[in-house]
Amino acid sequence: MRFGRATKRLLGFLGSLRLATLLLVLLTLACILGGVIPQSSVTPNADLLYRSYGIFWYRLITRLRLDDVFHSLWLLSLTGLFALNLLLCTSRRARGKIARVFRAPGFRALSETDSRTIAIPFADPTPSAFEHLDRVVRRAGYHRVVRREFADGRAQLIARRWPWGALGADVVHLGILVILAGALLGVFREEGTVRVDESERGLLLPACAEQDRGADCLPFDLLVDDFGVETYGETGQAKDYWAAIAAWQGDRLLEEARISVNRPTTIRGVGLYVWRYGAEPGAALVRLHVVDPVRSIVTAEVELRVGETLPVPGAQLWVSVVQFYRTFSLDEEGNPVDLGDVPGGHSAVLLQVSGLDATGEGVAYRDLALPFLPETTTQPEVAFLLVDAQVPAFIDLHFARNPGYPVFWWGFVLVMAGLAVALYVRPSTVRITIEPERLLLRAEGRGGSRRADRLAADLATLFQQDLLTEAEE
Amino acid sequence: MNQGVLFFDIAAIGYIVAFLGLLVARVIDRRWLRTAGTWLFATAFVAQSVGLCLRGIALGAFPVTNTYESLVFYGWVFALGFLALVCAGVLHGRIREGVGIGVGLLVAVTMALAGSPLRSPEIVPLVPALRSHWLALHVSLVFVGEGFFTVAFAAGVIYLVAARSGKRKDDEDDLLERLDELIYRSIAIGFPFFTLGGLFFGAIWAKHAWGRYWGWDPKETFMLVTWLVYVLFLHLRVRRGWRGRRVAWIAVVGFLLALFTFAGVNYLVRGLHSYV
Repeated sequence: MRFGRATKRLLGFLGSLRLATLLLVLLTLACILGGVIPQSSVTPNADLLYRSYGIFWYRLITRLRLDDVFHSLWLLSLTGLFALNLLLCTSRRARGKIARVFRAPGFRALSETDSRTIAIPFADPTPSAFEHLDRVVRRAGYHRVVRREFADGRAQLIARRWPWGALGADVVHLGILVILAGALLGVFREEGTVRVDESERGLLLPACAEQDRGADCLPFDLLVDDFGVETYGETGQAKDYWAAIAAWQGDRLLEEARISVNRPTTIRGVGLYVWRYGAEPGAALVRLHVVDPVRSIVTAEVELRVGETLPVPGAQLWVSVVQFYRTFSLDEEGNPVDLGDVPGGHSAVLLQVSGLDATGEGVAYRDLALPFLPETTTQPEVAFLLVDAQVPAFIDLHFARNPGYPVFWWGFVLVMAGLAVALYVRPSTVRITIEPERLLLRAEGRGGSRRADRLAADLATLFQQDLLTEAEE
Repeated sequence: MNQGVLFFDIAAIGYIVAFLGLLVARVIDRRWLRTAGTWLFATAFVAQSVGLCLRGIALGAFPVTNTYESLVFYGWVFALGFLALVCAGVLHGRIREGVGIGVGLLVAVTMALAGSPLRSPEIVPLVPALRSHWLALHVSLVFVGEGFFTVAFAAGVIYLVAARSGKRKDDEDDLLERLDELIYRSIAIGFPFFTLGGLFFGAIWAKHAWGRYWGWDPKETFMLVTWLVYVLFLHLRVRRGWRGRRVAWIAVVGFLLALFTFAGVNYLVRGLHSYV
């Protein structure tokens, strides 16, 4: 393809190291911003947080999409430009490098005046010299030896070691491009979360049933046979969360599996993960004792769920459970808060009691002799005591199907292979000119002139040792 | 249960004395003191290694499951990086002494931080999210990478201090050239470990645990930031031929970012990686 001068200059700039440097700096700064500013996609009520910074910062953050940096158009554009830069840079450089790897290197005259050229006294005729040199350079790990004899009686031998090492950086670039392509394919991903609570154990959740749970469709019916928590014997602390699942397609069982945290399974290309395990205080079933506070005897028992309202036996009252607290506490402002499962903590319920002309609200504790006494005036007084509470457990199963995942893998492999080659493999070329009575030797390669001089000196020593051995034989 | 703590205490004392020994050796220029300092450093490293092994056996997992263990392991890798470069013959004479002082100080600081009353040395059972063989691969390789970055950082700081004086003798120019080479080599060795352990193994573990390779969690984001800074370093050093103070500064900034990713993110930004 032929390009005009302006297009060539533009392509040159788009594939330049200067632009790459600029983009790396900008991407770094963008990531820092995204890491420091709470992102609305992750932090709940992030909008309120920005408002607390003041109107200037609020406007700046929302207008520049700093509240969602990683999904903003400007960052995606920068990433796109970075991918283009990589593509152009790699295609331009790799073409020449691949040609150099496969093509024999050109001959170049060596001069004794060059400080990096080593002269070795040597009197053998050219064929014998070639034989010696060939042996020595091969022993030093060099391959692809090229020989050439000139009309003036001189000859040159060129040997190379790991010429493909020059392609390392390009392979890394290619790997990053593959990873970015995988990320692009991620646009077509499907993922969601299915929450299964205790009442749904053993129920077959039909495909797409989770849509009303705010998730996408699964391509099969899912049976969560059982789930639970594995604990450490001595402390009772959670060790693992697990679920026994089965995937069905109509009447056909596709697969049965036991999955746990860090041990997912893949069924029909859909990864199934144990995402979260916990208890749902909002669905707790509580048992209350209705107590006559004067005689201190239990007159009745009521069992109801959070949110339910039931009449109190023997009294013209209705009781409803507003909230259940696994460990009841009060915050600094005196509002009740749930501290979760705290050893030694006391659970409690917030009750609302309504009679004919009055309503009372208060807290009834468990295991504490502090019955809740509603302030109803026209009814005989009753008190409530929390006797028992069953908090149902739930498990969140996450599912994901992402066509980009296999592509990522290849990207990872390419980047790592390329990095190993780029940073640890140092290609080098050695040129040896055979002149009457002497050899001129010069090495070139990645790693700087010092390293090249060391390589040349090592080869010269190796060659002299070879000569000595031959003389002794 | 706090297995290994005795060995860690011995190691901490060893590193502090080694650091002071190397520092005094630099001031009064005594070769025997320099050698003794390096040997003491190596002995402290052995004690720390024994402590880590004991702890790993007691825990039944790679001992990087909380901040205490991570700090100890972090220090261990700094020391490993330094000793590896000494054994490989990369560090000699004054450079060895200078880098030894820098690394010794850093290791002593990490051990002191680990031993502070704020960090409990008690062995705590692993939470479900950390019960994975990827923990050892992910964390150890990141720390190996960061160990080499620490050496680059120490060399960078020495470079910047040494390069401040206007007129220099020839041997000082040679020292600066060697330090510059050391910065590059350390980063070139550490970078693939950091990439493999931090980004790729981390991503694969995230896929196993959370069902996605990448989620822009603050820890992941700052890991990427650190990686990008070292990518910038390598491009500017190798392709643009930057040398000296400019690359030394990048090595220093890169390490500070790595340090922030390890320690700062957990405390300042809440995310999926917030383990104590």
